[in-house]
Amino acid sequence: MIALVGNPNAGKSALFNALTGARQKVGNYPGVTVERKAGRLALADGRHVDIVDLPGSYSLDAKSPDEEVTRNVVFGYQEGERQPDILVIVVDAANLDNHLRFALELIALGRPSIVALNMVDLATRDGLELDAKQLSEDLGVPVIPTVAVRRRGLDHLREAIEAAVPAHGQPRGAFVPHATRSEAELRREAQRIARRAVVRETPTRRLTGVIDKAVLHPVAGPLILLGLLFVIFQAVFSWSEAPVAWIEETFAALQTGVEALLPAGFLRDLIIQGVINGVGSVVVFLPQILILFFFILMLEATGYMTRAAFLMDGLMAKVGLSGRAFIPLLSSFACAIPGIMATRTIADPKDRLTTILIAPLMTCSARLPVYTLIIGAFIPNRDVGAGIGLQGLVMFGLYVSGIVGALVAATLLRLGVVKGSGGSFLMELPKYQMPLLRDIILGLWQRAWIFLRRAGTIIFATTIALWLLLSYPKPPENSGQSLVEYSAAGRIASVLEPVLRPIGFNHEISLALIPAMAAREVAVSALATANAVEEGDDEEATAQSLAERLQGRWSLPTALAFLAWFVFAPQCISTIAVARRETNGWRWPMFMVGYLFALAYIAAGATYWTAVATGL
Amino acid sequence: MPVLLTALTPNRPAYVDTVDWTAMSEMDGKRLRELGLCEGASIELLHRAGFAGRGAHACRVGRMIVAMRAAHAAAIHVRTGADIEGEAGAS
Repeated sequence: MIALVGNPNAGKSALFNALTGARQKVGNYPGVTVERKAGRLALADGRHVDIVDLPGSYSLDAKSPDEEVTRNVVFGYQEGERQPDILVIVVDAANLDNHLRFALELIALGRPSIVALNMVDLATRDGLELDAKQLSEDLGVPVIPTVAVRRRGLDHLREAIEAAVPAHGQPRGAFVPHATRSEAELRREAQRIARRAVVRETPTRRLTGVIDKAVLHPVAGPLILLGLLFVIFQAVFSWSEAPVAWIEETFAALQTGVEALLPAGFLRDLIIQGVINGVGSVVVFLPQILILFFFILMLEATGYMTRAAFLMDGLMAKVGLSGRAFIPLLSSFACAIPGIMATRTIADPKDRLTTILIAPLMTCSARLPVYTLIIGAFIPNRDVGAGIGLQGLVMFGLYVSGIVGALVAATLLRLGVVKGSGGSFLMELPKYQMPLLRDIILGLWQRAWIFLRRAGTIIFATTIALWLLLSYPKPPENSGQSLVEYSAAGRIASVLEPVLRPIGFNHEISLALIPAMAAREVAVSALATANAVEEGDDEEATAQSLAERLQGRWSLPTALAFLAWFVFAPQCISTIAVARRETNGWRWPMFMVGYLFALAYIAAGATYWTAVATGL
Repeated sequence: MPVLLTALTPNRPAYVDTVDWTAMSEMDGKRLRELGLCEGASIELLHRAGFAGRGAHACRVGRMIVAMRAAHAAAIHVRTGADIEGEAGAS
């Protein structure tokens, strides 16, 4: 097995993508939420070797959970991972003196190692010419110049790997660690070797400096960031219109097909009302999720994301967090799960815990189905002036409420249960790079697959279970009782209803909130399924959209309270499970669930009571 | 005369003279050194975030751009090339 290891921003992931292509498996290391990216590398002699992309690290002295994984894999301590036979050490050619320090630490382990001198094109762009042969002589291992994003140098790297991989049946060579050296000794040695490797260094006007002058400017920088966020959220809605319509048409066609194929009865009802209505109402949001992830991946790949963290550090510091928290929090707008996973780069444990606890307050894409449905049904589609629509304004207000709620929650958490030092902010700002479309598409594909798998498993199972609970037992014929009210789900909702009634929630909402614990977006499919079951074969009612049906059944204060509930409610079992893994126990996830439910109840109640009092 | 990094004129090349490692946690000190910031390293203040420059500082350390809070920057004393030339002339 080969491990790709190196400093953050050395271009490891791009090299991993270039070497493995689409033959990748993304998962987690057992017991931790650190992402494990593994793949297969085809060698010229026909052999295939496993290759794993380890999280970026500055040294073997780990300070954060992802750096711990890197250290543990390298030493062979990591559960669920073999000790690598070969280390491919990735260094940034333009940052040799710094990256060589970690490379020397790794080479000193005595393992077969190859250095990928990556991003040589950017080094050249910066006026730096390097002698790979000299570097190889000084390090005592092969050094291969590469440009991972342009697929350059990969054949030579494969050849070097092939030469180092033991042939079948051949025993693995014994590892002879070199003498350990102090941090200062390693640094001096790295600087000495880096100086010897530089053939020519001509000062050039660096592109990164030119861009940073604008994007890190104290006034222009935050404005550019705000503008970017505005464009991203606009795009999420406007670009998704056409693909959403295609998905809706596909599911409608499926429904018609099933109606034509199957006779009326249990199976047809199950497939149409349970599967197609339920799963379809969630899958329809795939375009929005992918558009949001597209921007997040682009911001990360270009190097802008760390600049955003730099700009946001001042605000974050005021609520007891660091600018680093901005990256996981922005990811949480797509989904809290990758957001919580991204907190692993935050070294300070209390900073990280606070970020995890507030991540579910960022408006994740799973809330979009709920927001879109209720806003579409209850908020008039009219301009409030300057071309701003009322519906968009309400949506914006919901996003802002989540952000403000998160900032207030972070402040209170840092003053109370997660009390500690103010944390710190130390990070490298990488050079700007043009992202490779292929890598972005690969990242999007991985996220789409995760979402569709979720839709095909959790959401599929819960909508089927809900359909069964909503459909059975059936009320006695001619009793005049509603099927939904009489069903098992209806009875469970009746137990919850007295608690939720004071905040304006009706029986239907109480019912939708039960399966929504599995995933927020299921609230919409639950309402769709419940309505489909309720309307039965009433063609006129079925022809009405879900939004139209809700308009007739809910008051405006109830709808607004429902929206306020979803700004704060922690309804997603996967998020709670990830928080449990990340915090190594149930204590903090339970605290998170408790405080978020309390917030949701208060917010929904306050919204409902205010709306009723003002005569809305 | 060494000056604090926070007081250094932006885009003026300098060298790290001393770092008050006791002014920061051991972990932050180690991370700063891993980012190449130690006595003798070349440094250049590039940007200050926020109004009145109280936000994070972005500095070129060697060939890397490192972001740190003003509190950390205030623990770093730097000397500019002019200082070094001046001292050489005086001796």
